[in-house]
Amino acid sequence: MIRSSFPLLRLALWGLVASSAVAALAAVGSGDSAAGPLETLAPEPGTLTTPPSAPASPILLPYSGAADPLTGLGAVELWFRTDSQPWTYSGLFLTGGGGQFAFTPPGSEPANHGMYYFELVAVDLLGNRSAEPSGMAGTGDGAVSFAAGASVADWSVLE
Amino acid sequence: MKTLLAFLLTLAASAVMAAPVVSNVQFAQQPSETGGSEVVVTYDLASPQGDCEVSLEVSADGGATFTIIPESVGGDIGAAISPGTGKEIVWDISQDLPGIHLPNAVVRVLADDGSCAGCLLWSDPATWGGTKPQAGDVVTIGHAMNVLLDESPPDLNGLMIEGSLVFDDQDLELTADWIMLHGTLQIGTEAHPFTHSAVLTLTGDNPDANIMGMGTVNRGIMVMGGTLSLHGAPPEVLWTKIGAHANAGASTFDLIETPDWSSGDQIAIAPTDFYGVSETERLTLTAVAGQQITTAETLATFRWGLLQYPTATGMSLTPDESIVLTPEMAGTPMVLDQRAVVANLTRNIVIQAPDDTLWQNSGYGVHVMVMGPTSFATVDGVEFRRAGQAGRLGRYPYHQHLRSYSGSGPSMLADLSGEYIRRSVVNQSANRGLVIHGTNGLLVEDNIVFDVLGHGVFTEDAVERRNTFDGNVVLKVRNPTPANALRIHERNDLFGLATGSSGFWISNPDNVLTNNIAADCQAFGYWLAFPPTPQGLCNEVAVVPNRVTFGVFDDNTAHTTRNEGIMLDGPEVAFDPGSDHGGLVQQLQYWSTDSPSGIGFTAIERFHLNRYQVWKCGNSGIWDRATVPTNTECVSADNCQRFFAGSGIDGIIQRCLVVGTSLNDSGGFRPNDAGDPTISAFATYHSTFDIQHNLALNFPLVTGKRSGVFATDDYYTRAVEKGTTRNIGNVVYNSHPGYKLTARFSNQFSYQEFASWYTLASALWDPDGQWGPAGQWFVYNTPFLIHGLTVTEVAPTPAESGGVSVPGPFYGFHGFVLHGQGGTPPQNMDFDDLMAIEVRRLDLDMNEVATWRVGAGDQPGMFLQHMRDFAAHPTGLYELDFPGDPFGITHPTNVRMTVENLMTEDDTVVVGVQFDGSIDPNVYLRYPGNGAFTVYSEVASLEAVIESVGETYWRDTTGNRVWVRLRGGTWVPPQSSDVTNDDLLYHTTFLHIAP
Repeated sequence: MIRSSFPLLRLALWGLVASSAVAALAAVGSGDSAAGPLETLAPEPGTLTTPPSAPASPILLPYSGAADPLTGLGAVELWFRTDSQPWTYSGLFLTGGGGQFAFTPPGSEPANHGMYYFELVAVDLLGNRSAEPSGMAGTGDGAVSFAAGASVADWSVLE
Repeated sequence: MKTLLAFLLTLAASAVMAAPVVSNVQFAQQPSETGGSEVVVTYDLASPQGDCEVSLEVSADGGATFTIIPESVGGDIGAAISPGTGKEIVWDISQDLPGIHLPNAVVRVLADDGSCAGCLLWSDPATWGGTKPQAGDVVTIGHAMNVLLDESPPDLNGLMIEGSLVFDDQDLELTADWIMLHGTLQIGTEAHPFTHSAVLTLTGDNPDANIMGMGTVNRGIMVMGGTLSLHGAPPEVLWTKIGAHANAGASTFDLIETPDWSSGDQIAIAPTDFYGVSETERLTLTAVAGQQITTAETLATFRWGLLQYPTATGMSLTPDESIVLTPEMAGTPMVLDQRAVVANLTRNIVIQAPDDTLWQNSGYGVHVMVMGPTSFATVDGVEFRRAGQAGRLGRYPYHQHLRSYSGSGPSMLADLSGEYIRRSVVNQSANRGLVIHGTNGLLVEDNIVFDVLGHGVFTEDAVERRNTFDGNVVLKVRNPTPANALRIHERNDLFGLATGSSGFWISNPDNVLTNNIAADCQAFGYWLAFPPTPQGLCNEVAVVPNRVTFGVFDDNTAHTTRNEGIMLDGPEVAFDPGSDHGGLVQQLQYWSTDSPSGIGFTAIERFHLNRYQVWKCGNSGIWDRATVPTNTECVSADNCQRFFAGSGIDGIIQRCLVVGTSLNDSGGFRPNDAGDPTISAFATYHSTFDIQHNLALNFPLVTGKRSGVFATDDYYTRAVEKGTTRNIGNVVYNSHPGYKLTARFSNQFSYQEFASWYTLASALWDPDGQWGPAGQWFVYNTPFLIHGLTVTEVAPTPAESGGVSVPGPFYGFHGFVLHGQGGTPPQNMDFDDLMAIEVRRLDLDMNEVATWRVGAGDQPGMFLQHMRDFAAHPTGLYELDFPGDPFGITHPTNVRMTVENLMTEDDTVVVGVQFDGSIDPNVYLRYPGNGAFTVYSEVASLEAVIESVGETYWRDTTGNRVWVRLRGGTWVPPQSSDVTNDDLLYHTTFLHIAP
């Protein structure tokens, strides 16, 4: 964590002395360093397009606009939850800034019928991740009613 | 007085040892296997002195300043890192620094071998410009100056450390009036503990002197933005126990392990009897031979030294198989350990006051105060001897002061990271022991606090959170004099509450207490006192301490306390910005919740008090006033009142070993003999605690007194008591289930027969058959309750046990309202009217069988005067009068009463209620929380009421009475989400006889 504490400032002074004056002054602690960038900014996960309902599996979910301008995009993951199960990673990922997921609702039909909520999580090449959903919170980037074999009209009745 | 400022002059004159060298530092950021991003830092370490303490710091500005200290690190970092190449540190940067971009970061690895290689030498005159410090000097070690203390200086008037002072590892003494630390004071490091003797004696003799504008710093080490690094070499065995009894006069003790102690060490041996009977004794070792130690002094009082085991015939020194635990009791402790603790008080780094008249007469001792967010202190293996300054605020042996909060407002700063006090000793204090004030995240571990006036371990303002108290032993805590008590609760017996100095005063729930021992304390072992507001300098911090999620309380022991072993109640009252209340305490329910505002039952979190041991406590083992606490696998023995008592909601006590009187019994003496002389295992606060699968032994019956396993004087809110349905699976040996007490007639410890000014539950359901046949009721042996019933005597006799067992059911009547419910007289609310009641039980010929009277409760000094009720049996007719109407009205005009236990249509009873005959009433039975009710039908006579199946009434206009045949089976559950077990258990209803 970042501290602007006095001891650290003092250590900093010692560091300056050690590097510019006499090494013996750094006796309580001696060290060496290396320089380079550090970055933990989250990549941009982009936009997910969801149909209002899906009568058949798999559910096709296009997305676009995922990016990481600093270190490069590593992957875009698809996360989902239902009305009874918390957010979980679907196991699906794509590496491009745009593409289309083919999501198969887990479990057997018709037990897996119901509302599915989706969210994209982007990961850059350093491992930095956009925010992951958790628990039962939120409805994500889009929601799809899934009922295999049912028409949109049929499903609206079920809703 | 001469002030010396050391100068950087002749560096070449200093003795130079080879310093550790860190080289080849490289780092790379990459995805981590666990998700997120990590930084892998590699380096090489050369260190002629051996292992080093390695740390990591990061600059965001190209190396100009290093203000980032990574916390989520692993690998070759920290203490005792051996030299070598290819060392690797892994830093979870996602955890520590989310959302940053540092294009010019510099990562630095530091190594410290503790040798102060290259430091200036104190003994070298050149360090001081040619003349070494002289006696009486005030010495300043300047900024950017590192000095190795390689000789014992003369007595100084003061020492100001702006740079660093490092003790060479040799026997040294440093004496000064005071030490002001803005830089670093280092005596040993984690990797290289100090192995010789360092004695720092703080000698200032003017308590009120303002030294150089710094305030009253005499006899203090004041850490103001500095670093205090004290690492001694404490013994491996910090404390142990005796392995055999030790009689008074003994000077040889067998221990349960072989200690690495030395002749000359001081030890403290804890008592094993009641507070006031025996106390902690300080002894000096003269020999250590294997597991046996010998002391110069002899022991004043006996110490218990053997384990005890529960058996079917009582406690035994030998375990056997006579008790077979049920599967649900798995985990119940099967050993009682009351062996005396022996703690080593000697450390090789000593910070002390002189043993002078100021100490002896005024309690003016040494103190260490670590102040503000920019200080840093790691203390390990230090003895604070003759410490604390009596009656002086902020002058304690070891004091962390406002490290995590600003003192002038509500700002919360960062928790401490990597700071601790451990394996250290407070050896005699005139003002508390270890004080944590406005500080979060401190580790307090394996310390001994001995012989302290005031609280032993003290969290001051109720904002102290996320501190860990582990493995500490606190012995001999006494109240300061009233004049020296900084808070009222450190004194004794105020406002009807037994208060006083305690082993631990913990004022915020969000802390971790594990494996501690508190014994020989004048008040409580652990006082968990969570107030409604923060206190003191931190009063503006936005937290409600008694509405904070509970931390951890596990495996703590309290014994030989004057009051309860553990007290979860009695916090300070709300902070008053106008004036300091001085530490007044109050009764206050604690709720563990992460939702301090708008609290509903759904926001309450069950919290846990696990595996604690309470024995030889002067009152109960534990008192808690808390909502949904769970007490699991605890041990209680030899406590003077009960194992558990409290005022809680939905508590659980499970799988505990509860012993009334153990073999460690010196003739039955208990300190409370003058008060409440007998013992019981459980008070359940009218069964709001579920007492399940416990093992209880040795709770004998004492006729006329609270005694046996269950304390029946706790059943005082209902006429019929069914809470025993929750008390399942308890296994009891060598005990009576509980004497059936009658009500006390005042708040004195004496009892009178039933028909007092209040009453306890007349009928106690006994589903498990503890008192008589299973499913019967334990009642007073009076015709009012047993007429016409088959009576089973409760052993040994009804006279001795206080009651008999009879078939039920019984129905409870209480909460009488005479003239309409409300707050405008003559209205009253349930339990608000202290009217007398008189109930005549009649036979079917209307002959009086017996009368039940509860006198008016408006008596001086009354206690529980709201509790006025009676229990009725379906075989009786009951004529209810209210003699002496509180408002002088001849007859009740709008009656309501609570009726319980009408469970089915078969539950029915006839009651004739006094009522104004000039009023034509409506009679109905109403159900709480749902708006539902059942209207009763008027019939032509009392006979018609008696002969009906129920839901009928007859109005006796001349007799001013309404006769009702009540009937169950119509109860409707409350719609509220706050459905409690009691609603379901008792089918609570309200009988209305209203205009």
